[in-house]
Amino acid sequence: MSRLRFLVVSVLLSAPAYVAPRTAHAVHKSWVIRNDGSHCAFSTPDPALDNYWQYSLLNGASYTRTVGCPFALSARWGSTSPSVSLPLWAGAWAANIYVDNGTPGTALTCTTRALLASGITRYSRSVSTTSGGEQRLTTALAGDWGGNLETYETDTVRSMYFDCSLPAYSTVYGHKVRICQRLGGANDCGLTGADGHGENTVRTNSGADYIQVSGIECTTFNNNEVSRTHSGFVNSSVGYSSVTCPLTLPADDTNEAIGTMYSVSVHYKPQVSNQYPNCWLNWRDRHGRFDGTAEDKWSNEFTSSVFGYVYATNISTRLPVGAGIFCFVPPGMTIQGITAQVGVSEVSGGG
Amino acid sequence: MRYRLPLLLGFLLTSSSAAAYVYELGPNYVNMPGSSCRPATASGESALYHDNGATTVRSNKSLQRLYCPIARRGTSFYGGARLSGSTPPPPANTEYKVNLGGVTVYGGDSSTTANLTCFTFGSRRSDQAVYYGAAKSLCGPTSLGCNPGDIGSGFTGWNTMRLSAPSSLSTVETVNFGVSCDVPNSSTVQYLESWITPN
Repeated sequence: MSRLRFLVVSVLLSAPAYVAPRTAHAVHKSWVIRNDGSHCAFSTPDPALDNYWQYSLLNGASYTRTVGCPFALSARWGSTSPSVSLPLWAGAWAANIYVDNGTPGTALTCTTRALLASGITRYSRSVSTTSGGEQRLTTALAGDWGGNLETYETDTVRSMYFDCSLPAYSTVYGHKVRICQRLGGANDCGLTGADGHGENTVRTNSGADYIQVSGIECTTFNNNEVSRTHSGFVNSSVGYSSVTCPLTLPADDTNEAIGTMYSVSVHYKPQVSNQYPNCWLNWRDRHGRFDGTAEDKWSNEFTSSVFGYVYATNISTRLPVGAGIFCFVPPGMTIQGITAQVGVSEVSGGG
Repeated sequence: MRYRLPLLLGFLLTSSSAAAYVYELGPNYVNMPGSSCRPATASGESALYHDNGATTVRSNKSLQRLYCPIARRGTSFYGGARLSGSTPPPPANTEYKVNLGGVTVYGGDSSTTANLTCFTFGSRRSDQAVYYGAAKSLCGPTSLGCNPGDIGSGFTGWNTMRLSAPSSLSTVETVNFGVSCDVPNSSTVQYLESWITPN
């Protein structure tokens, strides 16, 4: 009797070893690709009305304009064990864009578009709101793009972007897509955290990656006297210029890291010695919010260094929907680029 | 006490059957819409359209120089701690190094008086010395692009060009690199695909 009880208990206690791992590590994996609003550009630019600020882009016009928000599809690693190839397709678990409709009653509409290797651009479902204020629009959810992109999600993608009609005085804060690591059948992602936004799609960070952003990506707010060169972004005016440099955060594995930026540096070349830019990290934190809103955050001013950069360390950014560097740049100075060490999510699951 | 054996057995089976992904397969392909390209000056935006994921020079404007970023995100393989342990630390100064394999640019040239020409570049962090890759122009005979000096300006149409990385760029520290394109009126940069060996 005692042996029988031992056998039964043994089977019961060891059962999770056979069952739980396959459930816990079921392959619903993706790479979380985030870009912020200052990566966006209006279809018909107008420097006087294109208000790049911190990590966002505001439509300063009194009318609706079309804006494109590109994804940098990068750092979509493959795995050597188990063997999983690079996910270069358009398959997605979810895609979101975080906006503020500044003209209640006027439709703010977004679609995700993907130019595929076939040369044809496919599109997701369109999502629209006439409600005013800050909100999130979801063009892909539960692994489904809608539109005619879903049918072609296994095609290789050449470029991907949000296309939105943005009413007057409205803002794009950031956008993201979760590109599936595997496609098809039980491996397809999208079975949990359908909208890619909820509490079950985040983890505390457990590692860190370095990122680098080139100075040519920076933009300015209402100052035409700035220029890009092969050395970076130059303030060509006689006074200080407000400069925004977007951060392309690491691609997180499946879950967004509730993270920290361990170090952030703005590299610059002064026109005269003892000159440095005044810089801050700005981000929009959605931590603890599940209604599409987020909170504006900023760091202390960066510390100057004699080595040609200003820097900040150990900034708890938590869950940014957009993050960027904002600097007051002295005349003649070149912003060469940004580097940062950013927390990333743990490797999700196994084979 | 006697129940610890099955528990230990279960734990070992759990560990061995759930090997974590090992993200050591690259390269880092970076796919950027052409709409991410920016003009040489802020006021130069007025000479452009950024629609349909592309950047196009307006028909009534002169040739424009564009700067197209290569936003690679992580500079090394994924650093999230693995279930089986931790990734090794990245090489020193990994955020300053880039090993660019090459770039494919897809675009359309509508001008009969100038070519759509692109090249890669990167500047050294210490002194801003600029390293340039060989320039290529869109042309008809090959999807690799042509040397600008070998062709006239008569090509019109859509094609790709293959750009090589600047020689020696991978050996220096840089925080600013990308693709420069000289784009005639009514011509378009549609997308860029780069491949980078992670540090």
